[in-house]
Amino acid sequence: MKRTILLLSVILILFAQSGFGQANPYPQIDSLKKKLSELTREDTNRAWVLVLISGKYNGINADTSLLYANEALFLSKRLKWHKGIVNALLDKGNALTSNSDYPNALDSYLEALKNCDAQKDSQRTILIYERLAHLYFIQYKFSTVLQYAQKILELNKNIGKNNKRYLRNLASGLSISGNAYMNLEKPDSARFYLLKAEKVYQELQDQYGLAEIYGNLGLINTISLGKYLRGIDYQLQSLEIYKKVNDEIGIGVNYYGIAISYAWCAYSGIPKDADPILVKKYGTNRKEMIRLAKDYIEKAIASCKKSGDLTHLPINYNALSNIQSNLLGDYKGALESFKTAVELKDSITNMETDKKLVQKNMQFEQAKKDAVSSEQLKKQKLLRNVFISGFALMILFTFIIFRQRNKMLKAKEKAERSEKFKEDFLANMSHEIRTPMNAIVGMNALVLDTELEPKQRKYLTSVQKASTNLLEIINQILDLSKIEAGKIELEKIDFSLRDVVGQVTEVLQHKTDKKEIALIVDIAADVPDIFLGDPLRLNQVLMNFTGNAIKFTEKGSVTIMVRKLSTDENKNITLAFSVVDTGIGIPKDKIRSVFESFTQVSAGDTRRYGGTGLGLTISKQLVELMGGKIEVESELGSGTTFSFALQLPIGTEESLAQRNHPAQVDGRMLDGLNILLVDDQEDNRIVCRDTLESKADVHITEATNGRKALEILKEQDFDIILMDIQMPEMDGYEATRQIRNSFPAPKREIPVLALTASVIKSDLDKCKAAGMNDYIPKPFKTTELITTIATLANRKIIYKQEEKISGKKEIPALYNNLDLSYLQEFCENDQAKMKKYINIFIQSIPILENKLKQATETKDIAEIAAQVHGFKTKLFMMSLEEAKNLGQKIEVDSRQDNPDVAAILRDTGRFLEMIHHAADMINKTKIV
Amino acid sequence: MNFSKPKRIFIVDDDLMLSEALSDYLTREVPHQISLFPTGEECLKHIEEQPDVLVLDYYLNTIEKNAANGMEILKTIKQNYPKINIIMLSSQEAYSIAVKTIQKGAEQYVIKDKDAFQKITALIKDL
Repeated sequence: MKRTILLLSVILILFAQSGFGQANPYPQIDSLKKKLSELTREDTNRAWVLVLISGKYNGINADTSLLYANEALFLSKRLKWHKGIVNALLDKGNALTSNSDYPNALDSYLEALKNCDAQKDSQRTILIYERLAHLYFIQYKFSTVLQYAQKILELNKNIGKNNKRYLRNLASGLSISGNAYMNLEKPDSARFYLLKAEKVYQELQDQYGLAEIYGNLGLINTISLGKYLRGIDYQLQSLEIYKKVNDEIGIGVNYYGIAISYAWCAYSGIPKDADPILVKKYGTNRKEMIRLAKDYIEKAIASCKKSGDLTHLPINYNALSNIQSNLLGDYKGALESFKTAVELKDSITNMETDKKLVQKNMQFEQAKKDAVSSEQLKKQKLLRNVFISGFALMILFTFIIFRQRNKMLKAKEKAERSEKFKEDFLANMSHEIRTPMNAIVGMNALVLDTELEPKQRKYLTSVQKASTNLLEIINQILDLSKIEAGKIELEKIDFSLRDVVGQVTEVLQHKTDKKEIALIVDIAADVPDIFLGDPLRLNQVLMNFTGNAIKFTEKGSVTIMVRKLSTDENKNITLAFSVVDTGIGIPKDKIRSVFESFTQVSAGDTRRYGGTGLGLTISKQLVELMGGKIEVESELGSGTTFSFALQLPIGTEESLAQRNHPAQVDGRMLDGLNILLVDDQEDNRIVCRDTLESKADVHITEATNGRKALEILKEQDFDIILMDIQMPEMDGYEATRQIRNSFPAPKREIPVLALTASVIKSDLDKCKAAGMNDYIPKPFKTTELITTIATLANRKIIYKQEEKISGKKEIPALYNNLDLSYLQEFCENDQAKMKKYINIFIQSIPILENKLKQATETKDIAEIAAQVHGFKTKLFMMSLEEAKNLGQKIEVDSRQDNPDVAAILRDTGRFLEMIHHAADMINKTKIV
Repeated sequence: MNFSKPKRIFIVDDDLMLSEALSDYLTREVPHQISLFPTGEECLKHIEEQPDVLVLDYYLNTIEKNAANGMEILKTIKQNYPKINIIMLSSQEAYSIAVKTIQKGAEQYVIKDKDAFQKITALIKDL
């Protein structure tokens, strides 16, 4: 039994060491990188250099190798360059193998196989078979290894004997077969193949290959066949070669093999059928053999220490212990050696645990599942093998992982660091960023509430929009973690579809203006405006697609199109959303990979596309969450369309009005309230105080932390406490707990409203647990603050009836609702002037209609464009944003080299429809 | 604030909405005396009134196909009344046209965009 243990470990180690010889790293990486930086064109040259770099990194840094392999793969796929694809996949597989990510490595190799025509490119196919054999070998699937070895030998016939590669492939196939048979415990078959391989290696004059073959033949002879002297002979040959090439591990393993050969020879005596030549050469007395055994095992230990090969050490110490106890009778020494072996083994077991940790941390969900099943298989196999060969395989296993130990430890650290970083980041993001944002948003809102020059108002409104957007982005990032955890909840509130789309154009307009392309909103007239759903998410998705479209469009237009597809019996409407651009387009075979790369968010992709790459990932997941599916259509050179369909219930206008017009809430419902405001940040206190005082007649007392708040509360009565969470001395949780637990009634019942910068659910749960009644995330919205305080203080919520004509309202892109606030502002609320303009507008319609109809009949596109253009000022004055956008589209479309006349005529019809509709609304409202 | 004196201003544009709006905008601060004309031909009939400023649209054919364009009107007026300040108004952001009009004596070439009214107001103030 012991013999087998020692044998197998050595065989496998030898094999793993050189059997699949990994490319030695050369110091050429820098020059390749330099070359890469010079290759700016995305062509096969670049792909090939990427493949080369990936290959060079293999064995040095698997992660870096993987990065380059992925980039090479991406580029090769786009170029449809099979050679690049296959080589990149091979490198990817190698890197993944190094990272012990066997399921994905297998996928890569199999994909490479698919991309490689076995008949046309037999050589490359053989390379893949070799990698697959190796992959199965390190997972102890020796029968499969054997199958691939046979495939190599079979396919090699295609290569032809005259080819240089023929012999190398032959050697490889034979050698792998021999190794597989060894591990399948068929020593005779193993010897047969290894001897054949030896001949080929001799012909090739491949010293490295011969060293491997001799080492393995030595082990078979010594251990499986009991031919110790033959074993020693082979191993000395192997040793000599390894010494020449300075391969310390090879040297060490042979020292070990020679040692156990002598040990067993000493133990069992020289076999009677031993070759006389060998007996003459190596045969000696028992004592001498024992000395040699000890000598060689000590050399082996020294060699391990020299090469830093900690994995072989316990095997060697174990062997030393056996020699000491069984041959030398040195039991004390044997015990010491044994202890050392066990200690070393333990540390390796720890590495094994580390490896599992790393895998857990690093792999994606799917890969994880695969890993589990393969892990189970592995375990079963392991169990079987343990029966056969004791802990040898365990040691082997640890040996394999050892080769990556340092890398794995680093990867694990990295993974842990990044996980920790992510957590910290999320927590800090909440607090550190939202707190100053609170000051920006809040103070800006306060300034906006004062008298301002139009220019100042314009600038500050921009600040408001930008900061609101920034807040949304912050929330998006927080969302992603929620989406990933499957914990996101969609809102179901009433929203105006046209407002949502309008916000997208408002934010992105400046970008299209800069690029001189048109940003067009095209919502069919039969699409209702108010829906029940999640406007923020919808906005997020549209914003992403539109932003992306703008990025890739240099001329023409980007159109956000909404169409009604169907209505079901429950008044649910299915809407088709499309973002259509006239940009560069995506090649068909790249469409999927664009999505893939975004979903993978690998470092390579980030470099390629810039930004976080989170946008499309989030969008894709959000659309799917909302029950839709993203479709991409694209034609190279003519543009891309991202579309998705969503089923949304119709909403009601009333609830929307409440939400959408925050200024409509009457702050005076808070009049007379006595409020205790607790916050350590002066900025926050100012914002909160001024917001409330500007809206209502309230009395506010400030405290800078929980302890001070408690002191003040002891002395005075309040209607409500607004409590920050994170404060020095005593935080909001503790302060609330003390109020709830140690204050007398009714003070202990006082409503506490948490003002928290955190949006993390666990923090919000803590608020509730501490006894807080409700919370408002900072930066708060004025309406939300006022209504929440009102609710907690049992005040009735009052809405302002009037004041729509404040002149402060922005111009919304409404179509169903006529909005004359711009006109009103322009006319400084002079009713007579307003009427004058409305009349000009109404009276100009028949002329326009006439001109357009004539032009339509004669298909005079230029005239249509001129008329539409001439109407622009009117649309602007009447705030008919949608018609204005459509007009712009018509103009842009008509200027194309080959204008789509039918589409322009169709749009012209709709353009007139919109204008008539607006006129109808004006007539109905009897403004004129 | 640099108050400008009331001036006699002609606005020639076939878009009445624009003319009216510009007129209202210009008279917000200073009670200018403003006349509006839909075509250059109409304007020429009153040119002997010799306005201080003429705001002239470049493209005057949206409604009247046969009307003379702004360039022709500019030439005609400058030949006979070189002292009238003419501000060209256009929705075309074309440098070549702008240069041509200025060579022919226009004070400035203003693009019809969001800031057009402001620009015209400032120009008139400085004349």
